[in-house]
Amino acid sequence: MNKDYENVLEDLALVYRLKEQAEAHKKESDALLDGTRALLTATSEQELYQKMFGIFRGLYNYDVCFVLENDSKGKMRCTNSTYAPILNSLWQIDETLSRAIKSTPVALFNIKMQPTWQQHLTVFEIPVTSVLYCPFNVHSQHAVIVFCHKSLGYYTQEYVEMANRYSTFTEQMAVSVQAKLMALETVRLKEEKAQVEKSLIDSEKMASLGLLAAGVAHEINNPIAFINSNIHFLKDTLPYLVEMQSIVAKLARSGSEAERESLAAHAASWQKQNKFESLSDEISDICTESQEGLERVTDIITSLRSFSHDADIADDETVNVNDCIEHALRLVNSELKHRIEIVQELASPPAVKGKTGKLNQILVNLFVNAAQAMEDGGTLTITSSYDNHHNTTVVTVSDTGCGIEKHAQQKLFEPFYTTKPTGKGTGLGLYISFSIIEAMGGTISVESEVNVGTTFTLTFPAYEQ
Amino acid sequence: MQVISHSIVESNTDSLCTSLKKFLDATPSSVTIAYSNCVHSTEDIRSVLEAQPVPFMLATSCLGALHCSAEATEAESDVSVLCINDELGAYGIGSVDLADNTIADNDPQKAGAHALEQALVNAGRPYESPALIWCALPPGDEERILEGFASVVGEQVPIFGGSAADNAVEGSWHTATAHASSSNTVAVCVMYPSTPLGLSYSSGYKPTDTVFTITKANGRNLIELDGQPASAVYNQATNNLIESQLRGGQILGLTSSAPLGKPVELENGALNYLLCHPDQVCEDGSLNVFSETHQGEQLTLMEGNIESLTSRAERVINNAIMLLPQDKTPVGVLMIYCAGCRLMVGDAIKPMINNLQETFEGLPICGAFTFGEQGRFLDGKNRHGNLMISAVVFSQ
Repeated sequence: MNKDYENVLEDLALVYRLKEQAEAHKKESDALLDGTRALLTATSEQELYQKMFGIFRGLYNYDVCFVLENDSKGKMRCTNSTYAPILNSLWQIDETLSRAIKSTPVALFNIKMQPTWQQHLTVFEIPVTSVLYCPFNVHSQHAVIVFCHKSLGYYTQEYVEMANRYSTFTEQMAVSVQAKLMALETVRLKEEKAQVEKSLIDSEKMASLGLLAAGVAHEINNPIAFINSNIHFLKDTLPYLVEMQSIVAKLARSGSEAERESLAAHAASWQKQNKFESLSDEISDICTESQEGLERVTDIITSLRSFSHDADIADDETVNVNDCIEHALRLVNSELKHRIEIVQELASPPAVKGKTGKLNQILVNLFVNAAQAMEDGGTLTITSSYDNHHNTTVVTVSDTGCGIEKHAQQKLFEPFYTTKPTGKGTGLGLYISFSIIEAMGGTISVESEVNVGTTFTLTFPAYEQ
Repeated sequence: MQVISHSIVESNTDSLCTSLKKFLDATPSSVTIAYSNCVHSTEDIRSVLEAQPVPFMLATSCLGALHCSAEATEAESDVSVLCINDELGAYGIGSVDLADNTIADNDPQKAGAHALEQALVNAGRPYESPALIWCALPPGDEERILEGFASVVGEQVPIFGGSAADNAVEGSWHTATAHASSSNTVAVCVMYPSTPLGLSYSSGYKPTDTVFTITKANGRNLIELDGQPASAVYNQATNNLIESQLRGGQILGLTSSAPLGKPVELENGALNYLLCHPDQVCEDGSLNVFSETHQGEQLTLMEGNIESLTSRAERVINNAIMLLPQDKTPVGVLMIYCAGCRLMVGDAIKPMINNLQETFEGLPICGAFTFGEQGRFLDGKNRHGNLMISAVVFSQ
């Protein structure tokens, strides 16, 4: 027998301890890898915690695991758990929990004796006995992750030391979880913001439509009225034309000269009585006029459609700004005509990327604002041009209205800011215009002088085909 | 974490107490562990310790206590003290006199449980797993007392310590704390140090090819081995080692070189041996041993010599140091060295301690020579054994 038998045994034990250490390091590395994978793939807070709990199970062999976050003075709340019945339970912060919050892991050998646990024990179906508190971090706030095991004294100071060894991992996990939670929150907020902005745009659009409704109705009603009148005229004329048709038919069937002479006399009398030449000219004019009227109605409806229905149009549609100006003017025509002179100085700038409806919405908003600024009349000047220096398509909308004061100009594009009387404006028109133009990669700026007028300048990146 | 050790060699108890008081007055401490020679009044020493506002435990050690530091090496000090100063840690002492019927009711398990619960409360952490349970037990029912500890904190918390000893196995051993003091007192200290501990527990013996089967036993009374009276079988296997005592008598010193070993299979498949020390031949030919035996168990005849036992001390401390995390350095050692081994090595104990001073560069080491050793064996279980050596290393 080897005389160094016990030394050999201890050397063997040391090798095994080193092996265990190496395995622990591997376990930690694997946990880190799994943790990273979990973080990358988790799409919700709940899924993230489920995956994290799975990783910790490999390290701490728990029966139940849960997270306590600070709730109110002296209390923590269970916010996540592998065991649903304890969710939302409130926990008194005792001395041991307090130390865990302050970054020291704590192992409890028998929580059945501990006062804090007394009120919670009945909730557990599994008879948990030993507990390990580990400091954690949730939403940048101190928290505690609690591992529970059914065996008496399962968690010892060796687990505390292990928790300290894994503290880097746990901290990293906590930071990563926090970052992921923030990322998920950011995505959610972005989605909500987009939803709110879309809702605002729709609301503002509807508000504009409401504002335009009377004018648009008037624009449609006029041609409809005279088309209606023309149709009545044609309807009234129809019996005479039927009479003429009857004379012509009889003439075609007449078998004698006398009968033809009698019918010719009748026709001459009809022609004289009904002023046939002027009637045919009149019918021709009525048809032309009606056709024009219908085209006006069609144009307005097309403009309305382009203003309001853009859901089925892709964002990368190319838009001709001059067409948009024409559509928008048509919609606000009733607001402007008679009292406002419209001057258009339109070049042929390059198309821009975006949605026709949205650009129409901006222009309608600017035109209506201009009309409201020129209550006593004035000139609305609209220009379009190409700035080859900046490769941008530029649209300006100028009025000779009351102008905007300097302090108001600074807040003009903020939401819910309005210089109009209560009930006259939502305060969202220019904010939404600003948001739309920004999304298109463009800019909007204002120059104004009180009692002189206001010019809005819109620039858009020119679309190069 | 700061550990300071001290020893006093003084035959006069009053002078001893004066020196001890002077040292304790000047030494900051969170907990004090002390070992003394039973020739001095334990009560007098206890009074000195009690006067300090520091929890303490005191136990007697065979032929005096062990001490080693940069300044001194003592194998037979009248008092050896280890002061652990650790403001960030927590320490608590508990004790129960086995004879106190109001608590222990002569039930060692109950006494162990109660002493431990008291220590946990006194540490201010009544529900928290300690890093270590350090104990000084009355010889006789150590296994039951360990069961009592396990009933409170489970079986995973490491338990180290030794059984109190006197100088001639005549029952003059003593354990004491601030709350109890007697030859039957279970004293326990729970430790929650702010820095990690290194722990080691083993013996300095190797197995022989001789293996016995226990055919009849009653607790610590080994009646028959291989169907024959245990003393006769043992005497024959050891070439008449206890021939002179076969009709009955004390054999503690004789058998220290040839104890019996209970094989314990480790997780890695290797066998290690928990030692069982025969201390007396009974008139009926049975052997009394210092740990429990069970019918059907196998016992291997072990062998040891002075060199293996003296070199073992260094090895055990070194093993404990190696178990510390890499970034920690040892600052003090609590050591248990079996009294049987101490008696066997004789004067070689002094060069052994000098060697410890040199090897560990004056690291404070305080220890006792005990009549039974408790520790976490290589299989990870807390066990009571004989002729064992253990070390607890504190770090910073």
